[in-house]
Amino acid sequence: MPRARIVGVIALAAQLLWLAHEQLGSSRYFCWSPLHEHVWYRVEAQVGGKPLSDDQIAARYGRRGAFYHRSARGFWELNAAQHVLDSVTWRERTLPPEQRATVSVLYRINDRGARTWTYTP
Amino acid sequence: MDLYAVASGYAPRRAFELEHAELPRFAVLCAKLLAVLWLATGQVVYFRSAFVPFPGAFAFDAPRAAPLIVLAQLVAVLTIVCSRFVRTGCAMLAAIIVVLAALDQPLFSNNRWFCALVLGMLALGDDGRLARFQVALVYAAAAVDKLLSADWRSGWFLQGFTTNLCGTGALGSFDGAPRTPLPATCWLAQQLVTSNLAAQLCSLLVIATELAIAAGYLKPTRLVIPIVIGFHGVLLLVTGSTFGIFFYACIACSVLVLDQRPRT
Repeated sequence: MPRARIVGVIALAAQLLWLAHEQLGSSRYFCWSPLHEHVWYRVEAQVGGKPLSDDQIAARYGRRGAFYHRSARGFWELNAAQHVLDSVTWRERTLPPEQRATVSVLYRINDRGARTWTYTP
Repeated sequence: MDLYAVASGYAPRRAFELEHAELPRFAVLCAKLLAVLWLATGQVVYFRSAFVPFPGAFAFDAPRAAPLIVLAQLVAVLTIVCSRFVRTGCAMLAAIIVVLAALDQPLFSNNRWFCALVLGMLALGDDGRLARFQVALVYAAAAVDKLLSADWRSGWFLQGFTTNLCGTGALGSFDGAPRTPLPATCWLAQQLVTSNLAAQLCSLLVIATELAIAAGYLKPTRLVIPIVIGFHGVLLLVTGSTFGIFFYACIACSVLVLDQRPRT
């Protein structure tokens, strides 16, 4: 069998394994699941007791592609909710301790009941 | 390395040539379409200077890297479109997309990752078969993910999705500015909300179509092309969004089911 084909088959098999792995959890990275779920969320963040505005929050976590509903102060996007929570956690834990925020995310997956998730530095 | 030989491999007239020593004509066409679409849809500048790589252990700013990243993508696109080193160009562009995807979690998107893997498989050659299998895997995985979701099976997802879409405007308004919703979106939302059966049937139709397309790529049939165009066309009509490069890339990849016999 040509070497290129072997590499390709291994790449396809690795994806299959990864697909199975992601189905066991709540994230859907690199696993071909467009429109897996839609999520409404509102993020409240404070740094040193000072609240961040929604614009600052959008810039801080960089979730491009989220629709912003100004009156509801909420974001809507078509990715797994876990991706939003990961964006917050990963961004915060890479900042110096004095710049980290206390974050609270109120979210609803597929218009189901509201859940709250918090990040504390 | 003989730089003259490399440079002479590039020529504008090659943009219209599909003959290749190791790839069938339609695999070359697919690669060229993806490269041009990557440029035309502005994907070359879709990255940030503040990177938060997987798995989120560290972050870094690289504002000066932007010109280099753009230049590298332009060279890769040029190599695919206007040179005889099509596979090398595919490998370059795929590698750049993979690195950019891995370097910034907030910007992760299925549509860019799709392009990376199809280009990667085209770079490996094998008469374009690996690229076809890759596309089949994408559609099959999308269908299985939906089948495993209770909200998809019951039609609840589509009811909520179309209702939200009708309330917020087309997905094209995802720059944050509300727009007037598309009539097709609100009409569909109304039908699905008033009838659970219609929502369930619509969900099953989506899943069945994705499975049929996957099968059509595994065992190539030309019927895939109209089904792909119809499926993604309806998605565009209902959502008003091309989902980044996804709409174009999926249609471009459908040429892979055409004659895959290598040149003799």
